[in-house]
Amino acid sequence: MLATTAQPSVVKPPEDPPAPKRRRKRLIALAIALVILAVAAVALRNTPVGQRIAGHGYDTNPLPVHAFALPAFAGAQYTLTYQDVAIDNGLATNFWFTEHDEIDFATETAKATLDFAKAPIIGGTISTPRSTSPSQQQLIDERSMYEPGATATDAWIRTPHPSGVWSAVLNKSEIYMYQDVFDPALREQHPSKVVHEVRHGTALTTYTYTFAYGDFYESAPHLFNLARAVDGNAADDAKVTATVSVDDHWVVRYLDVDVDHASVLEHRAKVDVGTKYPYRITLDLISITDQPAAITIPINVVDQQVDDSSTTVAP
Amino acid sequence: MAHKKKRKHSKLKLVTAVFVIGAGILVVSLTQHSEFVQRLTGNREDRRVERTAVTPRYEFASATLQISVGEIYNISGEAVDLTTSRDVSIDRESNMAKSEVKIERTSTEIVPGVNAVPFDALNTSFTEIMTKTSRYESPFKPGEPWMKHTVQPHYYGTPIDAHYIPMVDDIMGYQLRDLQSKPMVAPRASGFKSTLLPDTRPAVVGPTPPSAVTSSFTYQIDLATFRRAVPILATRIGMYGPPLTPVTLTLGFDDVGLLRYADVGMTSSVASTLAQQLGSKHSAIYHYTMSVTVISGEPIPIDVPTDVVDDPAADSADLP
Repeated sequence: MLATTAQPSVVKPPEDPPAPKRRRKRLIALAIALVILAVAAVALRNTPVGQRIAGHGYDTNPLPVHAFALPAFAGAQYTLTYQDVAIDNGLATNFWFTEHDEIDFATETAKATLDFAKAPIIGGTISTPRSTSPSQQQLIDERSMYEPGATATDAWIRTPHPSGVWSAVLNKSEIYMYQDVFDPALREQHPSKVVHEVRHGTALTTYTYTFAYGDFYESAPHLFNLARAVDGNAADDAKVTATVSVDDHWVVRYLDVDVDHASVLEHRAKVDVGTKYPYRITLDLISITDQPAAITIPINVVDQQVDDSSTTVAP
Repeated sequence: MAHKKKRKHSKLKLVTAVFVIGAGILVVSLTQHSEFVQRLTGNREDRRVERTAVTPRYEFASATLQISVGEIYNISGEAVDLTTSRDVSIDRESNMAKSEVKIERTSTEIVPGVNAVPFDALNTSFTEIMTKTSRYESPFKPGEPWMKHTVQPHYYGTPIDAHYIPMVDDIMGYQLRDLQSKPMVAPRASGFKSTLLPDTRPAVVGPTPPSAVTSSFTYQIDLATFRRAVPILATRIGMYGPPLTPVTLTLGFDDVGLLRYADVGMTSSVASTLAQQLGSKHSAIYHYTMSVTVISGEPIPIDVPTDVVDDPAADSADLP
């Protein structure tokens, strides 16, 4: 009898599938993942998340859709210019009223210099302006307005003003931010020109818009409200040019609303001879500063009596 | 040998992980302000087209409104609190408006120093019709003719202005949109609950918000903010006072975007002080309410009176 030797049983480790088979499995898994991804993309394409990823449904207008806070500053210097047309002594004439304001908001004092000028309009062109009177100076504080006396040695004349009515110059309300000029309607307009420029040493972006006078309100309601002095003064097809310059902090550094003066002349001034009709308003913010020049309110003053005999009921 | 290989392998893994994390940080820092990432993180939701699109202007043929203005008058040094109520009909086809005006003493007197003085000399009610060229005022005594005043063509802010009832985008500028608001207080059975400050009295018969209002916003702001954030309404109302005076503003819009309700109020003591400062025959407004009760596609016939007397002095058509 032959002795038999028991062979130990060998347990083979499971073999990896051959390389091509494994690759095929991976490809199938990848294909399934891609299909799931594609189905998910199609299913979610109109959801907010899908639109966020795809970038659909977003406004591409570069102008902001929110307000900006007025930056901190203690003083400002700006010029406000109003232009009117009228038939003056039989001649079509352009009138300028310029107010140059220097304000110290910390001490609530301001110095205003007022200039008046006029020039004939010849062949539709406005001639060079000439002053119609010497510059007038006014000093303003929270309670009163002061004007120089007749001569340099005379006392200043002090006129009290009601609080909250005449203090616009002292409370930064004439320093405009982006949202004071740009409303949703103006933002939607296409500017005729966008220019990057430097004005009074500050880098600005200037937007120029043109619209027909009849469309002015609907194109820019807030701007129309600011320039409402031109309401009713031109024909509906007259051209309006609005220019707005903003700095990096969205402070409005320059604002100009210019209605075609020829239309105002024909539409209103020639019909109502002698009356001035506004057609252009310009705000030029020269500087805002943390260290304004000191404004000294005179001590040698006499009080002007306020005329309260007016029958006007609104302030 | 195997141990050494394993250590080398984990070291490689660590370096790879550090590299991947570093690359991730770099990519995030480089792209965090990109438009794609800003959209993905939800920082561009205010740029959604449906939120930035301007609501189309709604055309209508006629409208009726109720306007109430609370105002302190300085009559020869005495502060008198009067409420002017106007029932206004606007016909856009003929460019005419008719106002039934009533002036009444404000019912409650809560401000010290505002005395009850008779105002018999004041006309307590009259009718006003405005066209593009003339303003007609009904006679104050029976049997007398109407007065006809010539108006200058500055219609902005008057009922014959095409935009007298503003659209939502005219009123809701970017500053107002950014301000915190809450929905209007719902009308109660006993009448509309005033949104005014506690020490501000309601108008005599204040107009209530029409049922057409579908969205409303109430703001507690100061007067300077009101003038800046809602310039069109502020210009029309002409409410003055120190810049920090608290103001309550309620706005209601209908489903086509028309302003159907506006209520603006500040404490009447500010108006009383201002009226005193301005002098006799001046006044100061402390409360304004406008409720557009009907918007219609049908015109409203407004008849121009024929029995009229011309007033030689033209007026500026600045109606409240």
